[in-house]
Amino acid sequence: MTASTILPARQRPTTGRLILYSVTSVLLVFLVAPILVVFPLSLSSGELLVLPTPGYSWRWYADFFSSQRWLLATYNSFVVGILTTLIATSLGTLGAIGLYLGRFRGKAFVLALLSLPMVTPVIVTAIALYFSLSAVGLGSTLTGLVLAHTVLSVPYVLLTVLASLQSFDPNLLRASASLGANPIQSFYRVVLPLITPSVATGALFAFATSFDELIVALFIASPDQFTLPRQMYAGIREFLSPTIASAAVLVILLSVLLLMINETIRNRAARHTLPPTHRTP
Amino acid sequence: MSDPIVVFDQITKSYDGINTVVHGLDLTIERGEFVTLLGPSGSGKTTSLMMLAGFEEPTSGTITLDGRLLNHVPAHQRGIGVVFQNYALFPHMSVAGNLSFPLEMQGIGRAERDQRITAALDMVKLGPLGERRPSELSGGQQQRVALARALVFQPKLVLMDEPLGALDKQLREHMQIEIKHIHEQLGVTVVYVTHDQSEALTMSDRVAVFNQGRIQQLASPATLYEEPANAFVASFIGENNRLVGTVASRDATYCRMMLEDGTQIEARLADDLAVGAKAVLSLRPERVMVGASGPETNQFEARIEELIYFGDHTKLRLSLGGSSGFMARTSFKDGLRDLQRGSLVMVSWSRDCGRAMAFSEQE
Repeated sequence: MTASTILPARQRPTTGRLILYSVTSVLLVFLVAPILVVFPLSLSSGELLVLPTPGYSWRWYADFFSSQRWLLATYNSFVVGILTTLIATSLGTLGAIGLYLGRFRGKAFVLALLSLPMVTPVIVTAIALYFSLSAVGLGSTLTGLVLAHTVLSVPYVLLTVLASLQSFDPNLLRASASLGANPIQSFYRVVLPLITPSVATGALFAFATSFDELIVALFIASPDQFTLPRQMYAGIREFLSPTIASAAVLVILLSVLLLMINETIRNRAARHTLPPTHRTP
Repeated sequence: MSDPIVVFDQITKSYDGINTVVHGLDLTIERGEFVTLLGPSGSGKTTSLMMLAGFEEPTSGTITLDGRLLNHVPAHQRGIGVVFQNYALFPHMSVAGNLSFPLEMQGIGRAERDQRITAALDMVKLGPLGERRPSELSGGQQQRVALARALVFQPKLVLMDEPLGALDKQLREHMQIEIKHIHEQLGVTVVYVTHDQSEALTMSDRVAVFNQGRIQQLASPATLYEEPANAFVASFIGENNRLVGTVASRDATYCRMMLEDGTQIEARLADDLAVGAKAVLSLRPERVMVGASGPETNQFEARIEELIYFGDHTKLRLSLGGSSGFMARTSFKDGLRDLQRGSLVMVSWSRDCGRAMAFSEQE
C-alpha cells in the first residue's frame, strides 16, 4: 500500500485550509524563532550581543575553541553526560524489567517513587542533592555531578523502556526457558535485542537531560566542574560576549544530531517488527 | 510394557490459596504416547501443562520426568519442548535463528546445528524459508516453525498448548494429521492441550477429560466416545441426547427406565443403579435409526420439530419422551427424502446404544 492510497487526494486550497496553514505557520515561527535568533548572533562581527549585527564573522567560534574555560566546560559536559548515560541507562533498563516481570506488592508505589525526580521541581532536587552529596564529601566533584544527573535521568530511561515492554510478549521468555536458556541468556538473547530501540531512546534522553542541566550544576559544580550550561550562565552574568551564542548554536546542533539518531533507530526497529500477516498458504 | 515417562502424583494447584484450580491430580503418561488434556476453559488442563513445563509450581504433590523429581527444577533445565498457542517465535531472529537457539544453548557446533536445522525444516515442509523472519510468514507457517523449534533439540517430551487454536478450520484439520504423523515418525512423547473434542479424538492415544480441576475420565478416544464414564464426559464428547427418568427394573447388564411421561426405554447400565434410582439416559444421535425397520427393543413414534440440513446428513429435532430436543441423524440412505416438519416418524435404537448413568445434580 502506498501513501497516496491512504491520504485523501490533494484538495484545492479553500478558505478553511488557508486559515489552517497560516495559523500553523505562525505557531511554528513562534516556537522556533527564539532558537533561530542565536544563529545570526553567533556570527556577529561586533563585541556585543545585539541585533542587528554590524557584520558577520567566525571570530566567536574561534574564541570558543581557543578559550580554556569553554573547552574545559565542553569536556566536563561530555564526561558527565556519557557517565550519566551509562549508569542511568543500566539502572533504568534493569528497573523497568524488574517492574515489568516482577510479581510483588507495591509495584505502583515503586514506580511512582522512581519517577519522582521527573515531577519534583528541579530546584528542590538540586538543594536536596547539594546537602546529601556534601554530607558524603562529593560536593564540588564530577562524581557528585554524575550521581546527581543520574538521579534526574533514570526516570526517563525507566519510563521509555517500560512503555516498550508493554508490547513484549512474556511467552517469549517461557519459550526461551523451554529451549534451555537460563534467565541471563534469555535477557541478552531475547529481551535486550527486542527493547534495544527504546533503551537507545532512553539513553539519548539521559544524555540530553545531563547535557542541558543547569540548576543542579549551579549547586554542585565549582569552576573546575563547570558544564556547558553552567559556563554559559556564568558568561551571561560576567561578560556578555557573543561566544555564548556560538556555544548555544553548537549545543543546538548536537541536539538535532541526537534527535536524528533517535529517529533512525526507531525507523530501523519498526522495519523489523512488522505485524505478522495471517495469510493462509 | 508399562514404561512411564511422566507421573503426576497428587498434584494440587491454587494461585491464591483460596480457589483450587487442580485437585489432587494423578496422571501417568507412557513413553511415546500422545496424551491429550481436554476440557472447557478453567478446567485445569493448561495449568497442569504449565506445571509440567516448569512455568508454574504445584502447591502440593510431585511431578516426575523419567523418575527425576521435577518440582524444583527450573524450566530451562527440564529439556521439555513446548509449542505455544501464539507460537512465541523470536521476532528478531530468522526462522533458522529460532531453530538454532536451543541448539546453541546446548553448545552444539555449527556444522551439526546447520544439519539439524535443515532436517527440522524439511520435516515441517518449510525447507526454503530458513532466512525469513517470522513476521513474513503466514499463521500456518509460523505454527510449523514453532513445532520445528520445539522438536529440533530432540526432547523426550513435547508439550503443546492449543497450538492450532489460531488457525482456520481447514488448516487446523490438516495440521492435526501432520502433527500426528510427526509424532509417529519420531516416537516422541506428546502432551497436548485442547478444548476441541474432535481434535482430541483425532490425534490422541489417550484423552484425559478435565472438568473443575479433576480428571473425569482417562481413556482411549473410542472408549470415551462409546463408554463415557459419567454424564459430563458424555455431554462434552460429541453430541448426546439426555433423557432423565427412574430405573423401573434391571438385571445384570440392562435396565428399563421410566421417563416422566411414562415412556419406557431399555438401556445398558453404565453405573450400578438400584431400582427406583434417578438416572440419565445418554444416547448418541447417530445411533438412532430413522424409519420403520429397526431393532424392536426401543421403538417410538416421534414428531419432527425441525430439520437441519448438513449436506452429507440431516439432523432431526424430535419430540420424544416428554422432551422436544431429542436429536437424531439420518443420511437419507433409507429414502426418507420426504421428511417434513410436523410429520410423524418411527425411530428406534438398540438397547446397547443407550447408556443409563447416575443422575447428578451439578449439571
